[in-house]
Amino acid sequence: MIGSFWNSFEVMKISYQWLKEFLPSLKAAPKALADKLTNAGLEVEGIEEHQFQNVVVAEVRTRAKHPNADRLSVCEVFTGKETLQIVCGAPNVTAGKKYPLALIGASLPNGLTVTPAKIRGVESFGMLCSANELKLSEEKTGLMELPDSAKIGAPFAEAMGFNDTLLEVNVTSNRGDCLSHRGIAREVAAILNFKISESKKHLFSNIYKLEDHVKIELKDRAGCRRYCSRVIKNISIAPSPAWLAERLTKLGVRPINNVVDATNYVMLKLGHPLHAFDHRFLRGGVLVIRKAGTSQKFQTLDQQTRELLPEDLVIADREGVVALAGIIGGANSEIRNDTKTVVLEAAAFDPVRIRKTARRLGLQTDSSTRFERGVPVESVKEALDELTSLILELAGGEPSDAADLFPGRKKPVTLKLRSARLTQVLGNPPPAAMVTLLLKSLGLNPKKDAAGWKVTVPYYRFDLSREIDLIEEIVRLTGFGGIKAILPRWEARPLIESAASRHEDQLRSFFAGRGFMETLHTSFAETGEVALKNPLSAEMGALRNSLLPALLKVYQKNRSTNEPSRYFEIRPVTKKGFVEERRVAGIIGGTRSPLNWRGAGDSVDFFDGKGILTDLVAFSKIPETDFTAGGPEIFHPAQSVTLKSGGAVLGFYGRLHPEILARAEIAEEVFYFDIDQARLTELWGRRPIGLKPLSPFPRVVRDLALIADRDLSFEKIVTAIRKRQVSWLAAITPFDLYQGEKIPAGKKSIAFSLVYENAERTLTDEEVNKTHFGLVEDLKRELGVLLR
Amino acid sequence: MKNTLIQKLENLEAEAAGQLLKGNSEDELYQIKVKYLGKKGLLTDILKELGGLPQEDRPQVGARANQLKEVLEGSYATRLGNLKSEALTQSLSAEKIDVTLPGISAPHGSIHPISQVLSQMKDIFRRMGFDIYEGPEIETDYYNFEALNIPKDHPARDMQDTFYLDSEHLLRTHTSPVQIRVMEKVKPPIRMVAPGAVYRKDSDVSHSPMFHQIEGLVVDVGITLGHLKGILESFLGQIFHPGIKVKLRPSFFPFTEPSAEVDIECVLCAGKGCRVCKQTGWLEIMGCGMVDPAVFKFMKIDPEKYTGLAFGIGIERVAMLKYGINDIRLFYENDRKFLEQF
Repeated sequence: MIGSFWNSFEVMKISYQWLKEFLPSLKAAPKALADKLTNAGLEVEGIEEHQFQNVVVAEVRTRAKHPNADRLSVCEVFTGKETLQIVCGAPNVTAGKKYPLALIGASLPNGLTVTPAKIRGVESFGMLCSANELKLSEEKTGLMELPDSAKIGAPFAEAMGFNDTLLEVNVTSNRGDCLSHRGIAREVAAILNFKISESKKHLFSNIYKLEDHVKIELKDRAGCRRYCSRVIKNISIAPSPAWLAERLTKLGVRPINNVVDATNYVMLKLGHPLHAFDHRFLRGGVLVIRKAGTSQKFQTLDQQTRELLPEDLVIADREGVVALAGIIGGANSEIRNDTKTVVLEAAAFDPVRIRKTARRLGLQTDSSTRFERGVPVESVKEALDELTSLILELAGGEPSDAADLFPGRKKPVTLKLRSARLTQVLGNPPPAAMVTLLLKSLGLNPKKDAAGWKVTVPYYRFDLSREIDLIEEIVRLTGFGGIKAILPRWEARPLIESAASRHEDQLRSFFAGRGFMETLHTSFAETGEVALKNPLSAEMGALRNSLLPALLKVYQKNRSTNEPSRYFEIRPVTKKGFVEERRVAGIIGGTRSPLNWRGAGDSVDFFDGKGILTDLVAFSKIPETDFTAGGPEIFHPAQSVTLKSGGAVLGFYGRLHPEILARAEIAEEVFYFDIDQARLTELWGRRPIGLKPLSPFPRVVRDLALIADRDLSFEKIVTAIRKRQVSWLAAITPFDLYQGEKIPAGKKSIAFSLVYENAERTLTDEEVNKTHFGLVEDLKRELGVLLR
Repeated sequence: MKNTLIQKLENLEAEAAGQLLKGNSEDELYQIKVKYLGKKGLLTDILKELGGLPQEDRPQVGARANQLKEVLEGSYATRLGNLKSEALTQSLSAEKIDVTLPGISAPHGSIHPISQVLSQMKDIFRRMGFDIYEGPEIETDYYNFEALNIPKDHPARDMQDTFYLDSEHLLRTHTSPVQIRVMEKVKPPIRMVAPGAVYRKDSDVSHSPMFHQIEGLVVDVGITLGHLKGILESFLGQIFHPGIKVKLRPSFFPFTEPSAEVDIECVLCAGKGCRVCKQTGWLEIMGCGMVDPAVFKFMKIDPEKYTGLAFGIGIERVAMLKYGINDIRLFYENDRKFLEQF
């Protein structure tokens, strides 16, 4: 997964040697085969050489007691090239016998790397191995004795026929049929146009009836499409032989005993999950496939007690549940070392029912994975026979006849593939003869007619149910290389894109141009108005409802008081009722300019940030904007403003409240703005521009310095000036503000530059003076200000 | 008498020329000029003796005097010019500054790499004539899964990494729901991309629980797999480099069929094989396919009449390749040292 499309798959380990058993004519090397599979949609994610590297067949020449340890021996071991001194702890080490020897540098399957060692004062140059150390057995029974025929010095894997290559195949969720060696072998056969050697039919001389031991009752016919069973009595449970243990181990399955290993082996071979019950523990001589009903609790094989729901599909005896159908067996009926009679199960359970239970219990097993994806109903009985045969071979015993309850029998699926449709989807499809060939190699038995093909889907390809599925099969096997790339032609029309999307880049450039670094955070926060049901962690338990905490954190983390420190983010926040609101927020602190050789710059103050927002609304041409005093509680109560456009609130700006800063461990003044992005971008560019004539006549500039009450706002003075509606007053700009010793306490001095300009004629000094001083008189009277 | 006067003039010229060369300031030079050529200067003194000469000798001596005057004035002007230019050179060199000092910059701002890549992609698709739609990040099960042919209790849901808000609401795991929302409202022809943030419950070097993608959809009469290939080759050529090798490999997605993974020739080793492409020479970059007829049925679009193509690409993945970033988490840590590089 790389963050593109939604896709899910199971990783299946496939043994190249096992594949060859199905495909005797397979010549392609593992790497080449992997490429073929990958190009046919079964991505081979990894190739693993499975070789027991640096493990060789060696002969113990002499054995002597270790001088300092009773239980250890010191051996002279011949590797075919040299004789090594090896210290060994196994009691069964015998001179003249052959054992696997891990040479210096060997990495054993149990994770151990062999290095030269000094054991109780005696040097040792390698390690003689037990089957357990090579993960070929669960039993710890001393060194693994090799047959006399094994050639001294030969690689162990070669001598034992264990050399193999494993392919890790990603099997997508639609290809449940490929979760087995036979399934993959069928794919290879289709790709390479081979024949697959089908398993031989097994015939058993059954001298007794299953019913004599157990009666199968299929009560939940919707939950089970087919159920096959057989009893084998007089078996001997024992560890599996090395070939079987080795095969299971390398494919990631832990060997347990011959019966359990046989069920797993056949599953890996044919894709059918199988189960074996100990007959002793089946009470009442029945196996019932039914809904759990009121049986509430059940202890599974893994010794966990599971809560069942009435709808769960279970296998039960007269007294209660003995297995969670298709998921896991019960602790109460598992195979033990003294098991004598087994009841075997091969079935096809309903995928949805299995999945629901498995998900709810968080129990994903090899069995549930396969049942969820579907198993071929037709081959359930074949799997049972294969299992029976293997158990008879490994554990002996006498089989009964088989039960085969098959309510879900279906006719083979037939489909049509129209040539016209093939062209409609692919553009330039392969020639008809090739399509016929491909359909044939997939076992679809195509019949060509005028419109196209009629095919019969083989039972194991239950994923093929529609015409489009067949089209995909064609492309899958031919590859996409033959499809000609062309660009579509379409009509010119205005493109649809939201205002927010269209203006986002300009917004970003604006802030970046003013020294802000854009940040990006995930939407998760510790608290918020909307909580997650299954968060990654408690700190990510909710969706954030403000951009402030993350920006504060960035500011704090990257803080530097002698540099400008400005960050912004454009992201939605989440409010109650799953409402998403796009916000543009920024934080401003540090200095006005980067540290430089002229010295440290001044720290920013309230008006730096306010100026940036003033520039923003000018840049984005937002109509009728103004700032009014006051804002939300995150701000300093006397240093915040609300930015509006025509009465609608666009956002807020101000100095962050000292308490908020203290909590974030920030001592200096920091400023913050938070703007409604949707509203801002909706209004973007809406301020009309009607060009005012460029006056050819000179401007007259008059200064106006007033002494006013400290609390008289700039805005009130400007409003009072504007009220006079002097049409040729072009600009009012404050250029000095002073409070201090030179003027009375409680007062401030504020100076304005007033620009007078007339588009039609030159203004005379006289008329400007008249207006200007009239203005001053009005201000004195209305606002109680004095001329300075 | 005549010759004596000419001799005097010549002496005067030689002396004055020497003096003018010695003048070291404008002022001094002027004083020298006055001394020889001024109204009460030495030349005037000599010319006073002119009256004592016979009439016929006067023009010759006068002409010589004029010549002398011209020569001396010329010398004066040249010397004055030299002095002035020396003075200017001196004063300019006194104004020497260290031009190697760094310029004084405004505060340094930057645009996040994810925004940059998203913006490039949106721009490419705009220029190719695609509409751009966005949708909510909080989605319902229906839009995120059901309508995309990912039913409940189906293994296609298996990536157990959806964040749920309640039984119905979740954080979208892809931007595909936007396409469903568009298909509900807009009749074909449709040509759109949906960029945005998506969420999956996963966090490590190559997975972030929130990441970005852009997904495209084209639905019309006559849209084929060939068009899908054409659009992707053009798009990937623009985002990486023109003519980049593109390979489609069959895959499975619940909402497209046929489906493919898209590989590009490794942009780091030009396809030669390196650590990033695991020696394959190829990089898996996006997913795509032809819209599954089942999805059209959900949308009440006639799958017999219309065909559609769809594709999706992860923005972080592209940004990591373009900028050589090896840990996806860097995008969301917002370290200044990271941000200021973009």
